[in-house]
Amino acid sequence: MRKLNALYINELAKVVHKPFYIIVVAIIVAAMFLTGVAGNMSVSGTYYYIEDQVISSSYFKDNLEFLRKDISFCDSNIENYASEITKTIEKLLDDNEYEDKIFVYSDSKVIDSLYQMSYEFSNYYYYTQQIAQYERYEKYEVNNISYLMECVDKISRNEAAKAFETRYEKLCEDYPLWAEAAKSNDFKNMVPAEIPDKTEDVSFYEEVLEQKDYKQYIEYQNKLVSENKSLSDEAKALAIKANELKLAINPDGTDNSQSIRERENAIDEYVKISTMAIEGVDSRGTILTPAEIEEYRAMSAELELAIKKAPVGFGAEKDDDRELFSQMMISVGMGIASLAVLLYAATTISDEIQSGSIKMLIITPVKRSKIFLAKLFAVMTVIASYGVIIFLSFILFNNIFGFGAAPVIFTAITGKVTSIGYYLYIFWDIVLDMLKLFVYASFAIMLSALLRNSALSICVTMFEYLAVSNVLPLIIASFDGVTVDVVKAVMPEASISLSEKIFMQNYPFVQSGAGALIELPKLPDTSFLFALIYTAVLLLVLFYIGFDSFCRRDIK
Amino acid sequence: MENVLKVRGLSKYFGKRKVVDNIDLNVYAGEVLGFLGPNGAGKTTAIKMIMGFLSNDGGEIEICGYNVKKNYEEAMALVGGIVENPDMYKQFSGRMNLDMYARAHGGISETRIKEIIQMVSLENRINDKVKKYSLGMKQRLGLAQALIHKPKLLILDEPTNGLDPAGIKELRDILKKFAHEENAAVLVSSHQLAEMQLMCDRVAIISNGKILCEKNIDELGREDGMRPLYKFTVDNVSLALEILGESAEADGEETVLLRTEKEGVPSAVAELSKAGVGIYEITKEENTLEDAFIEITGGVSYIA
Repeated sequence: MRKLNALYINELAKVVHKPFYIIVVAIIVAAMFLTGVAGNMSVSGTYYYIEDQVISSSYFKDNLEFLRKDISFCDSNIENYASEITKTIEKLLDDNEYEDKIFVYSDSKVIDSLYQMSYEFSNYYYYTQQIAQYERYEKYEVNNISYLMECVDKISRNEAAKAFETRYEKLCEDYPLWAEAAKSNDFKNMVPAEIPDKTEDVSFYEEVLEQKDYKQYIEYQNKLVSENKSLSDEAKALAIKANELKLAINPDGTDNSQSIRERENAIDEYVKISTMAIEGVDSRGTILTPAEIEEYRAMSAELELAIKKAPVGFGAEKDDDRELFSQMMISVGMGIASLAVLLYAATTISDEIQSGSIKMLIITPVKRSKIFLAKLFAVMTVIASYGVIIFLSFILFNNIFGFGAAPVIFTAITGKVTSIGYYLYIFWDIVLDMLKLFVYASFAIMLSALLRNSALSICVTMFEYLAVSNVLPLIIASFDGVTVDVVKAVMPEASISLSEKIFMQNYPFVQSGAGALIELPKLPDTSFLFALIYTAVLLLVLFYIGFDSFCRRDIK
Repeated sequence: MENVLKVRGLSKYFGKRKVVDNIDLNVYAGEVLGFLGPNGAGKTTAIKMIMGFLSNDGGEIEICGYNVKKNYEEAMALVGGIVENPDMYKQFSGRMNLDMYARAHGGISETRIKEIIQMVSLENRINDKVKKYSLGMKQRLGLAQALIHKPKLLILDEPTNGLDPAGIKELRDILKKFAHEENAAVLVSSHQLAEMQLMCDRVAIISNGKILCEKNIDELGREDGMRPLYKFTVDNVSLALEILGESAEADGEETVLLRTEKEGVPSAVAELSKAGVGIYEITKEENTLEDAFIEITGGVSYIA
């Protein structure tokens, strides 16, 4: 034990006395700092990268009312998730301190469900709006038929939907050709005469879209608004002003960039909210209470401000960006640390053999097994030291740049929605990332002992780290007849990550990079226990090969 | 005398080639044993097996009664040495290299470290990085590291490489002093016979992986092949050969080689002059290992 300890201290002395370690530490701290600076400047556009992973509290706040009222809409699983998340958010929203800063981390299933739910809500509202319009004008836009049918299908579980269904059936009876065309999505063979009063508009609308004449389209929208009998003059003026604003930011309608789209969405949202505040009626036609009207007015004012100020519109509020940069500091630090650790691990044995300094180790009266273990522990220590540096730098810079530290909500391994402190979450995030890194580092040590050539061992390690777990499953999957289960069986590590298991952030490779491009189906979930056992067995195999190779082979 | 290193039937194959063939070797306390053989004879391979770098394909190695396989750490604690070049951590200072070795070995005091640095005369450069050292300085540092824990068995593989004549003499003195005063066993490998003659008490001659003989150094000196060789540049080679008899041989058109003790030179000169052979030059050729081997192995070429 004493000798192992002495060798371990020697290994650490070697690490600390080489400039490499100090340089890497400096780079990590500097890169995290610069990320913080960038975050503080609130560089726009990055929000969208995490849109799929993170749902901001503002999203929930917007939908909270709907979640409360219409939760019965969904199937029971989604309902449970939604209600748990709602409760947790409500509790946290009570502490004003965290308002607008809560991020919900959840697995994609929950997010998908929530988006789906939100989609159903919006369909529902859109649909009821359409009914309202239909009832007012007794006419219908052709484009909405298939959408409408989709809505009907989606909300058929709801009482209101059932009521509509009856009315929809009546619509079909009244206009049989229309109904038939709608069912087969065959709009071209539709008889225009069957759609009273709207035919002209429809052809005009289609023509406009074909020509992509955005200005004419806006004019058409304005015409619709001014003809809308249910709107007050104030609301009409607002809508027309908003349409002009849209025209101003995107004069020919060809700018399809995310920021423009977001701004346009923000403007639509502004019109919607403002109209509700002006009319005192929500989109379903429900009369709003004075308190609700007041709330919508405030939201409208906020949105107006946001539209004027925010360069990227409603979707990228400043706080969202800043939260993102707070997390990006960790990613940047971890990325650099991972490469440094792998470089070190991939050369820890081969460098000694290639330079001849291994002789210094072999002539000490210590078994080779202890030399190997000392090296292994040194690699673990280096990993941990980088973790500590990243964590401390994170706390420091997060405070300096005032990124905030609101609690994090995630679905725990038990399936319960829970929340923990931000720094605690980051701590565990780093620990689990480091564990993952240790698996890769063990692979690197094994290669270093096996190949006894630093350049080769670095190349293979980096290939494994950067390419194999992403590219190889895709290559395997590209063969005919290969199912996802086969990919999973051949390369379990492609779908295993302990940290993802614990935080239930199931984003297997197929959801990013090349996988997303070819739209591979998502790998089925593996259980946490399987991931744990697999990781342990993998580590044991790697250790055994490295250990055996180092301890038994001759050193010539 | 205590048998510090006992090697029995040691063998090693590299692929199908048997590089070390069933060798036996004893090194006793208080003696310096020269391990003599040309390049490729198997010296370094045998040493590497003794020091734990290579596994053996047969045979036993015991150091002070500890079997290297069964009691590796106990056996190795009694060994110090340099194999091939003294490869240290070049990016660290000499002192750090010694500190790391001392730490891994255990039980070495600060006073001992300072003492050994002084002994190898590195006190002025010990805090410099090893990459700035000359080969001679590296050899000294290697020696310091080999001696720091006062081993019972010191093994040095070609230790005079890179040393200047003064350094070689110093090394010789250190080794002899260490062997005799500390009652330690020293195993030194070399392919230079002259060096061995001055440094060792006994030599073991190895060729083609086999130990050909073990002899005391004065015993070896008496071998005919160990007698000095004189080169006479003369005007009449055939006449000179006739006069000098069987111990002489021709070497080119103007030179004759004579193997004799130094006492034999004046009489040879007198006889040649008497016979009217003109002598232009007499030079003494260094003894070569080849000569020794030719003698020992009965003239069989030993170079693999």
